[in-house]
Amino acid sequence: MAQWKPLEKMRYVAHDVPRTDGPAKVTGAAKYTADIVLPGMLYGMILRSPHAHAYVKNIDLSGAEKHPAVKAVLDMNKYTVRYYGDEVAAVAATSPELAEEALDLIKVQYELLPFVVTEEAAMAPGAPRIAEEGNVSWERAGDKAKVEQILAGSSHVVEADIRCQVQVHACLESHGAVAQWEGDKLKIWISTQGVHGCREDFATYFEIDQDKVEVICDYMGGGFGSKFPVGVEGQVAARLAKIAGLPVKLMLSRKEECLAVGNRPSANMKLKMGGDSQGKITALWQESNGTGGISGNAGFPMPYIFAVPEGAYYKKHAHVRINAGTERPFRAPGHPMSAFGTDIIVDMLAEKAGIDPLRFRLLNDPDQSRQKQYKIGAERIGWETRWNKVPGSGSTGKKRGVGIGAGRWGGGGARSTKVQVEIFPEGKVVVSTGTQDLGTGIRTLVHQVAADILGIPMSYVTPQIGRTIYPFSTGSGGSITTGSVTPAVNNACNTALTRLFEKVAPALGVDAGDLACEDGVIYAIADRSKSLKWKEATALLQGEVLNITDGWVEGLSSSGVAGCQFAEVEVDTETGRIKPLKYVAVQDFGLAVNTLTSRSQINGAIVMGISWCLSEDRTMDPKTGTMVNPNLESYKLSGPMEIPEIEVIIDHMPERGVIGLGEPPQVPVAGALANAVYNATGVRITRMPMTADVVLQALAKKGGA
Amino acid sequence: MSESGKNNSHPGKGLNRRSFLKGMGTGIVGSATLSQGLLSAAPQGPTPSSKSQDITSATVTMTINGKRQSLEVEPRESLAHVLRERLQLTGTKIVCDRGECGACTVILNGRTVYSCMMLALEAEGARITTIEGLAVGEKLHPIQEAFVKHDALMCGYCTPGFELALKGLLDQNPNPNLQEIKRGLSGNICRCGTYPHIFNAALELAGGKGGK
Ligand code: FES
Ligand code: FES
Repeated sequence: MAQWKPLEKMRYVAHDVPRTDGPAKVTGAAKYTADIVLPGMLYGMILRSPHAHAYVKNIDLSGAEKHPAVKAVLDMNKYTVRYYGDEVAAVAATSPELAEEALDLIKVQYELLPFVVTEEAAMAPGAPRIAEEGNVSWERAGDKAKVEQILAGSSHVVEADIRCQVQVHACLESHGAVAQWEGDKLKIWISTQGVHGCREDFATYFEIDQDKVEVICDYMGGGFGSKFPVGVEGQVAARLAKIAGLPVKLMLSRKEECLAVGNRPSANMKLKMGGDSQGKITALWQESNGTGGISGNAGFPMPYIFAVPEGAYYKKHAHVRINAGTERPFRAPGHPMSAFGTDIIVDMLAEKAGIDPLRFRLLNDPDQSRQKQYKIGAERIGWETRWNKVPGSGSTGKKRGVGIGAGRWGGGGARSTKVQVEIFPEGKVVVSTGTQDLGTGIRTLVHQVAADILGIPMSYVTPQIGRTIYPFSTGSGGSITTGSVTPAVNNACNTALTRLFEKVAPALGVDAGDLACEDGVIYAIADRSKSLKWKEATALLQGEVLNITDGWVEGLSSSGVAGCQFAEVEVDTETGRIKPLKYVAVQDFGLAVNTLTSRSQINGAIVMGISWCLSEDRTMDPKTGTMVNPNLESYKLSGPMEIPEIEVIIDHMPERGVIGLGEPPQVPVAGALANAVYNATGVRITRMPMTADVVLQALAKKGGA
Repeated sequence: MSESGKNNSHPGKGLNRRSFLKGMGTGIVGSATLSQGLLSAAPQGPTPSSKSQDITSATVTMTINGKRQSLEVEPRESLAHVLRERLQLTGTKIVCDRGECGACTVILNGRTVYSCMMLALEAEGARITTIEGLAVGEKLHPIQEAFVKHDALMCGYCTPGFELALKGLLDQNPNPNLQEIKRGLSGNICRCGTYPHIFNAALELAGGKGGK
């Protein structure tokens, strides 16, 4: 099995290395899909249903077709629209303003149907059936009676009603594409997490061969799981361009972005947990539901993190369909909800059992990495002095407290990943692979790994990604990009280097197998006086470009990571405002290829988790069936004022090889925050978002009790 | 129950900032349904008359990144749109298009503004700095250098807006503390959550180095 070069031989890997594309991004030179402007380009726009549920009785496109600026009109051919924002028709016109004008000329006759936009309404007896399959699909596990019996015999039992609300991805670059046909060939810029997946999707959709489709995503403004499929918007852009015979740009508006291109499902759970007199967990009882919009899919894995004895877990979960845009994968799908529920109920059980929650975790968490991490994190946050033994016992007015959360994730790598390495006679090296950089830094990682494996300065290497003209690489989801791409880069560079050594060995009078390259010098391992500078060596290629493609190999990546986070908060009992003061994140992800961009990932995950826990909330109006806050003003993302101090501790395990980091640190954020709020106030808040009014109500309830 | 007529509230759009003007253009319109197979090249829709219509446009003169330019714009076009689509200064991003996120921040006559909230015509005679105007040739501006060094960006979509917001802040207050930095940047949003590194970059610049 392949192995990474020893860390002491690497100049870039496992170091802080500024992003390769940093200068392009800070100067505005980086061209995202939304920035592409082509000669003659039209602007596409989609007409969307103003109703939550309706039959489309008739659609009259003639007004739009007659509009002089309109070059293409498309009917989605829908008989039923199933949510506010569902696609009905589309146009392409010479400017966005004129496209908007043309949409207003399309006349649609709807026959309104009853709708449901909340889990409760969808599950209520006599609720209108909004899908053929019914509104609810059930998932069950375990024996309820048996688990209730175990609970009845347990020394301690706690119970909680937990609510995680729907969260929208809110990528700052919206979903969209710029499509251009050259004969029967489609060239398309699209904001995507998988250029090769998009190529396949477009080929299937247009019934053409994959080699007729070129997909480009040089830069993209965030995906978080929502940008895998080409989506209706991608299909529409390409169709409109085909019809019009001109390039079409179709980028969704902020409002469309909130309605139609994915979200994290809700999770509403009633949990009961039992413990024995020693503080060991005896049983877990769960009745829950969640909605993933019109597709219903809303699962989360339980039991989570903590060991529950065999046969002592019961679950009844409802995947609920409502008339709202469908879910899409969102950064660690399911896990943040699992962790939020688990972290809270475990904290409650620890208290009931009279055990410090930190000790309780050490007692019940079977993961060896986290056992170590809890101790590191506790020390960094100052658990001994900051944790209120009596919750809420701190000073009056602004109250402080600390809390813990934990998470896990998979990772791994895709064997199908391929990388091309070209070594040019003048010494330049181009490394290409068809992955994409969502903001994660993979372009930089490719760059670092190539330079270190070849043993040359990064300035000699140009990484190329984001296009289907480069070798196959998988979609960026499940935190597998690093585990897929960097082993393939490692292997391809090793192969290329061996080839180069074969070319230059005769000139040095040694065997190719006896050569090494370090700091841009190729030398004989046994006799360093026999050496060539990199560029002298590549000059021996005599005009030939050394060009090899190789793939992923076993041994350089693994999967399965652990992490925990400690939060310190301040709760203003007068205003109800929760202010996160500090986070300590301890995270394992194997070999940290870039410690600088890794800290950015962890910071970002914490910010996103805080934002989810404290302020984000997709709000549906049960009367009209519409989303009431499809914007960035009343759908509130955390801004600069809400950011705590964040201390990142990388639990470095280079011997495990690389493991992706995008998702894992997202998992423990909200649970740690909820537990810290309890520790500060003595009031248990189990429902998100924990806005000031929610906090004040909870405080008042306690005060009155 | 049925309803017919215009969708005066189609959910794709929601702004009335732009007045409705009739644009000019002629051409052939094709129609299709999404579910049908590939279209033949022949247009299926009606062919509109090719009679030209009046177009209302106006000339606006602005000094952008030190260069004086006059251009024809539609009165309803936002400054952000003109910068991006007409001048291809696409470092200025449009994210919310309604003054909620700061991605479109530019510096206009020495003050930071949301360019999505201004009509291009309102910028008549203005001096405007966009992100493309910060670096001098290959030499990055100190703010840009600090952003790269501290990894104050991930996807980079919010980044130009943050850099210009920070420039605006440092021009006013060359030595802000962390709290002042947070407040000064609070008109901007980053979904990737790069804030801690943005603060690090800003703190390094505090002291006057970043303002110029
Ligand atoms: S795009 Fe102008 S403030 Fe958001
Ligand atoms: S870096 Fe992605 S939104 Fe800020």
